Amino acid sequence: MMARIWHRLPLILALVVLAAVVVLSVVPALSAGALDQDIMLSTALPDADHPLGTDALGRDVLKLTLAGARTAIIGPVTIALGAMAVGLVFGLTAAYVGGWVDWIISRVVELMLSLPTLLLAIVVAGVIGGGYWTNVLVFVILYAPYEVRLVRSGALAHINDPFLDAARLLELGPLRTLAFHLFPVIRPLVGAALFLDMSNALVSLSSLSFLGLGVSPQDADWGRQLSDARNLLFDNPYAAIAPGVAIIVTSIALNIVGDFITEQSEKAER
Amino acid sequence: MSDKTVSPANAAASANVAAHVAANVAHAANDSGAAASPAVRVTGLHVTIGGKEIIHGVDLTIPRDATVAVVGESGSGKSVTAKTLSGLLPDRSDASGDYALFGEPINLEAGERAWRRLRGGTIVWLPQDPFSSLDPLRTCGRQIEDGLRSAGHVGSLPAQDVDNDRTVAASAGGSGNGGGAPAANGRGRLTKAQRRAAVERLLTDVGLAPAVYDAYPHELSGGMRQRVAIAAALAPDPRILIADEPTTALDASTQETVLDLLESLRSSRHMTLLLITHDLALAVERADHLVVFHGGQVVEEGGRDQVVHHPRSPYTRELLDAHTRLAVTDVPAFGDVVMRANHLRKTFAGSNVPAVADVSFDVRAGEILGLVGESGSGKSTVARCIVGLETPDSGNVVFTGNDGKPIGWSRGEAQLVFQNPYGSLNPTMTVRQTLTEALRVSGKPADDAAVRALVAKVGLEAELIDRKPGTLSGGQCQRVAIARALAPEPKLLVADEAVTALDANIQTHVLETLLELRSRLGLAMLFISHDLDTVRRIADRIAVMRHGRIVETGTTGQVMNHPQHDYVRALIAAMPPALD
Repeated sequence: MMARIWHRLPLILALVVLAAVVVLSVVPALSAGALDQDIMLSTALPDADHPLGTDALGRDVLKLTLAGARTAIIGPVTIALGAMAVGLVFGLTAAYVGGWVDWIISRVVELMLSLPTLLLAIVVAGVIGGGYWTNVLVFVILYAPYEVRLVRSGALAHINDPFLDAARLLELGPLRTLAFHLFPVIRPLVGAALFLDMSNALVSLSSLSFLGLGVSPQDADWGRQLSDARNLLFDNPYAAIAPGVAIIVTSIALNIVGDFITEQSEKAER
Repeated sequence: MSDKTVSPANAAASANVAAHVAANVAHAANDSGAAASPAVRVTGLHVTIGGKEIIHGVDLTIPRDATVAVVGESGSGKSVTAKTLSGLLPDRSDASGDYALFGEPINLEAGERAWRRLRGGTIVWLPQDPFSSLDPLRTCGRQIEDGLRSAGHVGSLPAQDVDNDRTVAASAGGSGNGGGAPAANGRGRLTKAQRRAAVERLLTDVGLAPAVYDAYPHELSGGMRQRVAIAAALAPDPRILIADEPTTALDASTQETVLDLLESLRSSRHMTLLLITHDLALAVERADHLVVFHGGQVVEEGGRDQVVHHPRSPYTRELLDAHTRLAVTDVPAFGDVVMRANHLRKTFAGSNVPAVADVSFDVRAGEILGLVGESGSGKSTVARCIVGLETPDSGNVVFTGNDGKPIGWSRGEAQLVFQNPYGSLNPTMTVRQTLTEALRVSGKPADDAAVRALVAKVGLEAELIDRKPGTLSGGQCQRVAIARALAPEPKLLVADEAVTALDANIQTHVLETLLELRSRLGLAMLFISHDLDTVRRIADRIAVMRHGRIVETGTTGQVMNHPQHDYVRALIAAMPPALD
């Protein structure tokens, strides 16, 4: 039993981290007062009241980091789900219909994949003004072609399976065939991809915030915090370390859970 | 490798040890052979894989210079036992029991190195599928040569105790470190030309042209590839050849020649041939000695005649019965024509040979038409054209609608049962979900009672209704697939190799189910198979296809007793003889 827990330790830790992030983001009371400024206490080193010190505006770094969990989970989840929804619609259609429909979808996907994601996001955010939800929408669109390709190739692996022929022999409509026959067999793939995308989306969103194109300056956000704190490295390094560690730990946790799902689905296929 | 720095003196010493071991084995193999120690003797064999016991105490004696067939359905433990004998068990497995090869005790716990030397010259494993057992990136000749190289260690056996184990390991290390020097036991390495000559000799022995040396596997047919695999297996000059389902992946007429070849090689080389097969008819035709496996145990062992005429275990009797007869059901009077195929032609993109070239036939209500042909003869394409999964380039398929007007395919006219019972069911859906869906879209009541009635119709146990295909056996899956095909109450059932993937006794059960459905529902059936023997047992009328055309058609009696076409005569000659 102990050996089993030890073997699964990374997964258990990852789930604990994700649970904590989720709880923090849905219960704002846990990080109440995170945005309270105390200019007199600007850039203080850790003490009993402020375990990680304060930032330039005198905000408590620990509370601010905990409050940042909100933007760290809502955006990535929206991006992953939104992009996957687009991916499922176009990916399954391309694989199932084939022919010129597949050709057009595949070429559009290739065109979009050839654009550098982050650079394009920066340009769009710069032109139309940025903001957290604008960024989320931009990333939904920019992540979608990856999902289309993933879903299409996953579905193509099964497109010649006899059970799909059997569905045609029962004269099931295409929508029913896609939803009840093709989608379930690629569901493990979709589950694994969702977590990996959340991890990527977290880093992407934080990058834009770091560049000042994300949340407004007074909101808690790990990317924003990193950006604000980079001038304070010699005064209170924890102001930069805390959000940095938070980003890394959360995104590793998402990766571990995604890996676990992949592993389980491979086992189930055998 | 700690002995990398082996001194010349040490090398010489280990060379001596190796020569000594080899001499011992030669002695054991030749001299004590006169005392008739059998090729293989196993007692009390238990094998556990992944914590689950697969083999429960098997005793087995395999005589020398004989063809021994190991028969059993998939999962009966026949392959696991054969793998144990050649040390090919997967990781996380554990074997115990007494094992002797030609009277020489073998340690089942021996390390990989010891086994490798044993497999080199004494036991060889011929894999099942010639399409995946050869390396696609190397020429056939090079792959056969691999075996020649290990012929340098002929006859070394994994040693019994720790001391001997170490000497074997040391000698292996010694010759390995020898690099390009002559091999430790005094045999010179073969030059390139000698190796090529040896390989060409082997190719001739297995009935291939020496030029095959330079061919890549994809340039050869399945039968030729299996010959190459046999040549590679023979290269180390083995004393025991284990052939695991060597012909299952091949066509009927090719199967025959490959088995003939194995038999002639066996007798000319004084080998013991261990033929692993699920096909009792084939085993009876080919082997002198039969071993029947069931549920991880040997249920029957003995000479062929004894097993066939005086089977001791009920399981063997069931297998024998399965082969000789089907339960008799009434043949209904044939009704009107339900489906007529007119001059079907189909050429697939990228091919200049038509898959189907002008095929016409009809099927009447209550009639079973058997369509026979080798893989690639176009019979599956015909089936797919009939149910609308392919559109013929020209010609058409006409069904007789309810009011007698000719109509095209719809789900109520014809349904198809596929070859692969696992692939034809959605792996994520339970039996109940699959059948409920089929009933509902067909506009039939789809409640629990209807599903149970459908399941009962195909003879499937009702308690399997909430299981998924992954936990069902092949025969059970095939029954579910038949039940699904029956849900829309079609007039014609097309069975495309529907029993090919199943074990012999399960085949019989499924065939009996089909016959019963025919007589109860007056169903018309198109039964497609590469196996004339199976078709003969079920069909009222037979059509034989070759190269996209029907070359002969007639009632089963006509075709079987008075075949007109040479190809049909060859097919009938290749059939295994009756078991009585």
